[in-house]
Amino acid sequence: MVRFFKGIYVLSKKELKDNFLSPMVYVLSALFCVLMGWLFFNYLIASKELTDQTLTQAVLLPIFGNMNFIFLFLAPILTMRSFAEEKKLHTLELLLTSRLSHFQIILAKILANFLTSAFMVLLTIIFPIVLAMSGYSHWSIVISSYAGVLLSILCYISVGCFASSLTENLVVSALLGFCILLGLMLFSLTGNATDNVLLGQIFQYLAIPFHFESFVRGGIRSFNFVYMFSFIGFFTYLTHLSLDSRRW
Amino acid sequence: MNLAINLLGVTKVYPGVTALDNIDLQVRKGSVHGFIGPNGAGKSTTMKIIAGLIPATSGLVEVDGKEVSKNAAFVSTKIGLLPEQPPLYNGMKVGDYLKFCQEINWNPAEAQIDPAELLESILTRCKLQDVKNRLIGNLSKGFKQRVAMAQALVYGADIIILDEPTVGLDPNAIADVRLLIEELKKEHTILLSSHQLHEVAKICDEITIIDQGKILRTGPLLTIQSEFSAFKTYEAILSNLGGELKKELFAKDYIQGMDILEHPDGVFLRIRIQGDQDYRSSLTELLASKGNLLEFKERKMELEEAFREIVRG
Repeated sequence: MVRFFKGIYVLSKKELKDNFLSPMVYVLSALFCVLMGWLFFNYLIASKELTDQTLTQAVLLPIFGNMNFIFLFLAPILTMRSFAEEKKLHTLELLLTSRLSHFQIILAKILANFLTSAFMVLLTIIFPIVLAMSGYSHWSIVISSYAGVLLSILCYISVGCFASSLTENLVVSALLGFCILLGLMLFSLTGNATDNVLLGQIFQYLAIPFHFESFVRGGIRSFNFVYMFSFIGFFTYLTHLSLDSRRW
Repeated sequence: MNLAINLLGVTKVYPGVTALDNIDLQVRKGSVHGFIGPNGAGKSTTMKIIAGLIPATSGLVEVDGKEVSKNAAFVSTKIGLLPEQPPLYNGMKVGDYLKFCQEINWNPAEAQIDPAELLESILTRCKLQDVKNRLIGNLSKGFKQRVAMAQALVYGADIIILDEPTVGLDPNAIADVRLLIEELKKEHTILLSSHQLHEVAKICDEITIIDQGKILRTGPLLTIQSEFSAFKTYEAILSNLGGELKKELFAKDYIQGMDILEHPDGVFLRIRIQGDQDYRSSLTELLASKGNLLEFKERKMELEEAFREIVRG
């Protein structure tokens, strides 16, 4: 078990170093900060007019919703290099002939990309601090919203890694990841479109935003965790199959 | 026989293509085994199967007496693989890259040496000490190849598989790689594929010739060379080659084959002879009397020619 986690640690450390040595993370972080800062400023100004709403409803809920949506685009860009570049540079053979198992390789890649995304999310910590200065104190909502965003991002990253394992082309990898995520998002719309209540609920359950909302509203249920971790497990398994298909 | 690599009846079938057809290959411990064949013969596929990168469709593949498919972790520590395309991260420093390669392959249970000590010795042996703090992407092709070879050695593998290690290198870099292989010979079993047949002849003790997924010859280098030294080649330049002389030459049962080429002075003849008997005097007599012989010489078959002869069947 120790060796299993040590393998993940060694590879994710290298991946994390690669990520932070590339300018892409800083460019994406800057764009993300500008976009989130602008949105936060606007929601804050608008909240003055919305006197019947709390700061949570007027500022935090939409901000975390937007943050989640923006990562729908950012996560596939962050993960596009994971396997596609390894295939292109023929370094995947180095990993596949090592003592690391497929799952160690996949989990290390997911972990490194998750930590990179967490760094970007951490930059938004300034928003609750600004709110705290005006007397905001619903910290449990802030914590559960951040937990929701991070878990959503983890789901997006598992999809992005899977997309990256399917191709050698970075652009195709990013587009594929984005299309899969968008398709999954559309489940909730499909749920609304049907008259069949049971089918509607099933579609809603399959969409990530449905579970993310539970976190932001502070109403976390155990099935939210079950869904998120099953989702990550499912796409990790698909990535494993994709890597294994090289041997077929 | 103490075998480092043992392949028995190995077949690899891709949809519509049989890449390897029931091949047997034995590599003795401590030997340097050359694996030669034309492009698409199945060399890289065989090496990937031995390293556990792809499975064989059928047959037995053993490394150090253990079946590859059932002992993936053991094989990964036992074998150091240098694929045809060197697996290098251009954004990493040489030292960091080798340390990373060591960490993902290191088996503390079997290690008899300190990893840092081994890393330093490999850096020295591969002459990489001066560039260990440089980015791999900024190195010359020769240095990159040395780094790629170092990654196969850095975790103490006993068996080193080198897939065309000298391809695309300049003569100086080729000489460096050859020296390194000579150095590795002392401590490792080496399976080496190459198109540079004269390189194989210089380095290897045993060779295997493969073509279209089938092993054509395998055994000690000297045995295969001597087998083909039985084929002599005579080269002659005649001012003319009449039909009568041609007929007479083709009628000789010891002549295995003949190439007739144009030459500024007339006709160039390459006559392949089977058997170790000397036919020089009878042939020169015949050619001089009926074809106005200008030049005549005997050529012994080199490995390169033996290879071509075997592949041609």
